[in-house]
Amino acid sequence: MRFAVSRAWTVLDTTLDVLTAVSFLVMALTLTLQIVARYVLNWPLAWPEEFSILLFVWSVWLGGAGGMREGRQIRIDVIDFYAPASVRRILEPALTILSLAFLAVVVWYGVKVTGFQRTAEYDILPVSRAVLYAVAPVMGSVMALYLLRILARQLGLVPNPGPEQQ
Amino acid sequence: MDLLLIFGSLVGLMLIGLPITFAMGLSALMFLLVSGQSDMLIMIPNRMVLALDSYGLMAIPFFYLAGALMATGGLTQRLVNLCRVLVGHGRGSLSMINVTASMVFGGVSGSCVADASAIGSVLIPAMKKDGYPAAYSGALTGAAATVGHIIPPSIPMILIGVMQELPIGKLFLAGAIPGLLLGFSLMAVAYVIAVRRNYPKNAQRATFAEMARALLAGLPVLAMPVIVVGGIVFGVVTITETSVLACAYALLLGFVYREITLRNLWETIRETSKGVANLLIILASAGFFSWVVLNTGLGDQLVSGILAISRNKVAVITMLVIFLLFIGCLLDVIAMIFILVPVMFPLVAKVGLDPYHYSAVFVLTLGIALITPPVGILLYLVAQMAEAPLLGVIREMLPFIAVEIAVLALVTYVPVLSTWLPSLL
Repeated sequence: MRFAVSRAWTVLDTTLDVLTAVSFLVMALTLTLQIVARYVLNWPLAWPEEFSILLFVWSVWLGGAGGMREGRQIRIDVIDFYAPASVRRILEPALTILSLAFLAVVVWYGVKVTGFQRTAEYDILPVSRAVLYAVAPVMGSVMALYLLRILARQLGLVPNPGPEQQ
Repeated sequence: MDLLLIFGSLVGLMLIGLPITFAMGLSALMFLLVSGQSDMLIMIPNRMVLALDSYGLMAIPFFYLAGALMATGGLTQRLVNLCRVLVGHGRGSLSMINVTASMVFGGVSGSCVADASAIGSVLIPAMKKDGYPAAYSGALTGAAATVGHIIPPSIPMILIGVMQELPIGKLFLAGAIPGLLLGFSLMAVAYVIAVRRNYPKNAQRATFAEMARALLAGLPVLAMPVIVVGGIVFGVVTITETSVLACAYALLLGFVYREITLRNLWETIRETSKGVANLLIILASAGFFSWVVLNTGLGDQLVSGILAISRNKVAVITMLVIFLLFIGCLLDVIAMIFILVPVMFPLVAKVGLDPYHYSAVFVLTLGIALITPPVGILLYLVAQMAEAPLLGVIREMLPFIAVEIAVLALVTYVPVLSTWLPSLL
């Protein structure tokens, strides 16, 4: 059981990293194609702009989830230097719970917004705008999943791995 | 009272260590709940998605990638070698090289964090080896990197342009003279410190052959800022297209120099995409926060509060600069842009200040925020890179902070420094 859970986490971690980098790479290639088509071939393409923005929004949320997993979110860390360990032991899980509460709101209302956007279409791309808005509930859930793992570690419910295994 | 609630809770949550993304989201969320506007909660995911749904913003990750490819492709090393040949023979020559390289590198990546990482990784070890104290090497690298924030292409200017619908080319030009002024002022201070402390001097000037070799290797690198700035300023390509072209050019040079392989290219893309996303995710919740500030009348309250004190241009800009310097010690730069630009620019327009002038002042202040404790992200980065105690780096940073404030005062009270170039376009 423990092995299966650990394997599921590894698959999620790897998928997230690869998807972030691939979406970034595809975004670069799409924009390069747009430049070549417009300035070299004199044949402007309409779809690369919408497609690359869609990828951009997803890649930021994907990478944001990756940063959350590794505890690399940008924060002011004065408390780490000045607060005693006993305070930090209480504060750290409390902050994770606060973050989880915010993500719960994002996911809950994100599902609603995505539903509202089902019938809205992009100007050029033959897809619904719901694909764009779905990033909030989908990646919000992934972020919440990572924060739950972090919370379990902070509360000592699961062992804390070394930094290289995080 | 409303202002105190939202900004007080934001600062409070950040100071207790909540990640900035969540601090901004939660403070705006709490404000909506307390003020009985819970029907607006649906705007949270809406604004968090729409804040990123912008073509102009896509330039940011690609300027970062261009900076990373410069480092991977050996371009940074060639740039440093070129600077060494050009300015590396006086007292404290490595300090001069550091600032010059930062000015050129800033002309490509537009990001001071990328600048400090790339230049610092080459020059901090070299400075330490030459006998410069670790704390000073780190402090100088951090201060020099702030130049990258304002010299075009500047990421804060892109954000201001996207948010205020101002031409980014003109905004870039507004930052050019202040950026150069800042760079040369930092060099002057570094020189005085080098003379006073008797820092090492490279007695031997480069020979003609050495100069020619370094120039040949470094010229293609110097062409990068020209491509980047020229492309945008003359409106040949869009800002996002320029950022992609900068990546393509850095990649091409990296392949020509045989420093980029498929393996390190993938690694660079992987690391950059993660790093940039981690930074830009703040924009999502900042988008929601600034929407709350603007759409619930809080922005108007803030503007009327300041206008009640004075409507005089000089008095208003002085108040804004003092406020920015104070808040810059507490807030992250990206957060500052997203929170303050929508509030401050209407005020600036109301008192008749030039938006390009104010943009230059605003971005210069952001640069100072990056090197002032407790939030200054560059401080931590360079202290870590130099393996020096944070307090030591802060102490060594003080003369550079003083000169940055002096340049800020000059740009604030002499508007022509930032309005002349944009007026030519």
